[in-house]
Order: sequence, then structure tokens, then C-alpha cells
Amino acid sequence: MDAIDCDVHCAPASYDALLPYLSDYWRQNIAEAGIRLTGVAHAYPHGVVAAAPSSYEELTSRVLDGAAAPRLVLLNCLTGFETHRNPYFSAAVASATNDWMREEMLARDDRLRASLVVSTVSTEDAVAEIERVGDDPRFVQVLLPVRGDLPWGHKINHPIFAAARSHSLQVALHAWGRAGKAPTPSGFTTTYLEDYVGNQPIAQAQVLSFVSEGVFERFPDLRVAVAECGFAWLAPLLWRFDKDWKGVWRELPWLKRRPSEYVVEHFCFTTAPAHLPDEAAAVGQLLEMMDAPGMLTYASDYPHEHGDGMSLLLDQLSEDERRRVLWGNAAALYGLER
Amino acid sequence: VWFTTQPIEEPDDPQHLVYAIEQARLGDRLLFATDYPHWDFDSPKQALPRALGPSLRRAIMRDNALALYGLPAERPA
Repeated sequence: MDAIDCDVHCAPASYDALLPYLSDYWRQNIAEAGIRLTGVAHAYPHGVVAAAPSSYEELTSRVLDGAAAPRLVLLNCLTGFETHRNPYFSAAVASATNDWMREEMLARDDRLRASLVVSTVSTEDAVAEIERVGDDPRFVQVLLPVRGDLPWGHKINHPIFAAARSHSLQVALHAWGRAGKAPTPSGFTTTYLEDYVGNQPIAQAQVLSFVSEGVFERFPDLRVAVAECGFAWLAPLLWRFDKDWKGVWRELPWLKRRPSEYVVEHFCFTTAPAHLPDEAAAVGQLLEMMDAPGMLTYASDYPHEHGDGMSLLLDQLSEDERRRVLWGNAAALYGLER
Repeated sequence: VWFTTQPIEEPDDPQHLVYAIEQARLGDRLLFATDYPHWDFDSPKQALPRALGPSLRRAIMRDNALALYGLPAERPA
């Protein structure tokens, strides 16, 4: 398929795959403390293929082979999201994951790009990792979990964006986050269903944060890709954001334009899950309300399966709009050759 | 679930608000409210856009609340 797939998952099957990239200290820790990658597969409905490809061979047979294969694939590895709150271990796992992706995946196929993973606990360590591997052109963005300790636009996180831009990287916010982070703005949940749908209101909070904290005035070339959090919710959020900003703009003296204008210019959203209504007319209305052809980047979210939202979406787009969503927006966003 | 109208969203194209209400099937679930005296208060005369049309407007201003709370449709004599 003539597409750039902006969200394909890969993950080491266990810490064994990362051991070659970890220090003796952490190898010993993992062995003696019995630290394991548990993942969240137990939460999925029975029969769902939840395991991401853990080797290049698996990725090839499941994603890269065949006529339907996309032209370019952007790999996201979420291993570091769920595992720990120890900042020293977080930094070590992030570095090991990047080195594993480079050796196991990126070095073996020109069609692959990846998100650079960083410590999700320590800004200092995140910056150091971007400095360490950010010049590798196969990394196109810095991957952050949509759930954080503070909204990502907070001043404390700005060094991450400065480091990203100094290496021509963009930033992605991907669904989920560490264990120990509330999956809704009002606290912890009882069920997987709430966690799953809860990625949406968390993503909304992040959109508000990036704009309100003036991130895009400070980093005018920064773009933020929101992955696996849907997008159908965007328009009503922006109506409210613009209207309420008019009353309290003095809090945000750095904003030169209406908040929605920053969002439209600086954010994009992957297409899976699409979370669209069943009726074609209603889908058309939603896309009209959010200037969708300019803000969406195609993603399969492999190996996750979210239903037929993608075809509902493509049916409502013109030929030219389809090209933008399938590859044009991503090519421009990441400076990718076609 | 029912929702009150204030603070009401205000898209550049008021028709988009109608789309949103229809898609969320909220036509009989919205209750007019002024939210007086909060800072984000809108004039009750102008809060609801004309794009809503007379029947949806009547439902939001009156009928939905009558039905939810079982209120008398006519003012007691």
C-alpha cells in the first residue's frame, strides 16, 4: 500500500533481548531480583493478538511482506512505559531499547524508522538519551507516554523539546503510560475498558497543556503526533478552549493567537483507533469540523485491532486528501523521502 | 445522562454545534442553564445559536426539563 504507517509496535519478548545492551549491574539486578516484562496482554479480550513483533523476522512476515505492506513503517516500542518508576533503571532500559531497535530492526531494513524512547521518569536522563542517539536519522521522533507525572507541556519538560528539536526530532504522545499513573484526569479505574477509553481525556489534557504552557511559541518548529488516542473528540475541545481563553487570556501572555490555531498547526493524530460514527454523513461532519485531511497520519497500530474506522474515514476523503492522510502529512512531518 | 448548556461551546460555524448535538443524540438531554454569576456567563438571549432551529431550542429551553423533573407545563393559576 502506498502509505507511511506511523504506528507499528515492536517489543523485546523479554529482558533477555535487552541484556546485551545493559551494564553488568543491571544484568545482575534483573537476574537476581527476577524482574520481568509483564505487559498488559492479560487485560485484552480473549483471542486478541496482543504481542508486538519481537524480531525482524516476525515484523517482516507480519507487516513488511506482501502487496499490502506500507512503503515506510514507523516503529513504536512501549516497553519502557509500563515497567518501573526507578529513574536509574528507566534510563538504562530506554538506552537498551534504542540499541536493540537499531540492531534488531532498523539496521536490517531501509523501510523502517522508529521513535526514540527515553526515560519517562527523569527529564535529565531523557535529554541525555536524545543527545546520545538523536543524530541517528532513523529516529524521527521522541516517544512519550500520554500519561505522565505532570502534563507534558509543563516547563519542567521543556528541555526534552529543546533537545528533540536540536536533533530535528518531533515528539509523539502514545496511548498508555507507566503502571502507577492514573489513567483518567480524576484518578484510578476499576476496569480495562475505562483505561482504554481513558486515553482520550488524557490526550485532551495534553493538548491543552502544550498550548497553554506556550510550548509552540518557544519551539515554533515542534510538532506533536498523538498516537492511538483517537481524534474524533478534537473539535468540541477546541471550541471550548478558544472561547474560555478569551476570558482569561492574561494567564497566558505568550499566546499570540487563538489556542485552536496552535493545535491545528502543531498537532497531528494517527488514524487508529478512529472512533468514528457508523453513518457516512456523520463521519463527513466530524472530518469537516476538525480539518482532518491536514491533521491525520495513517497508522495501522499493528498488532492491535480497532475495527473498520480506517475504511469509514478513507471513504469520506477525496483522492488528494487520501494521499495526504496515507503518506503526505507524515512525509512532511518527519522530513521523510518517499 | 443530561447536561446543562452553560458554558456553551461556540464553534466558528454554529452549524457544527448542531452536528455535535445530533451525533451525541443529545436533542432531548440538554437543559438550559445560565450558570449565573460565573465569569464564563453568556447572555441567555444569545447563548443558544439560531442554527439550533426552533424545535431544538424549545426542547432545550423548556421541554427537556419539564420531562426530566415532571414539572407542570403550564404555570399554576
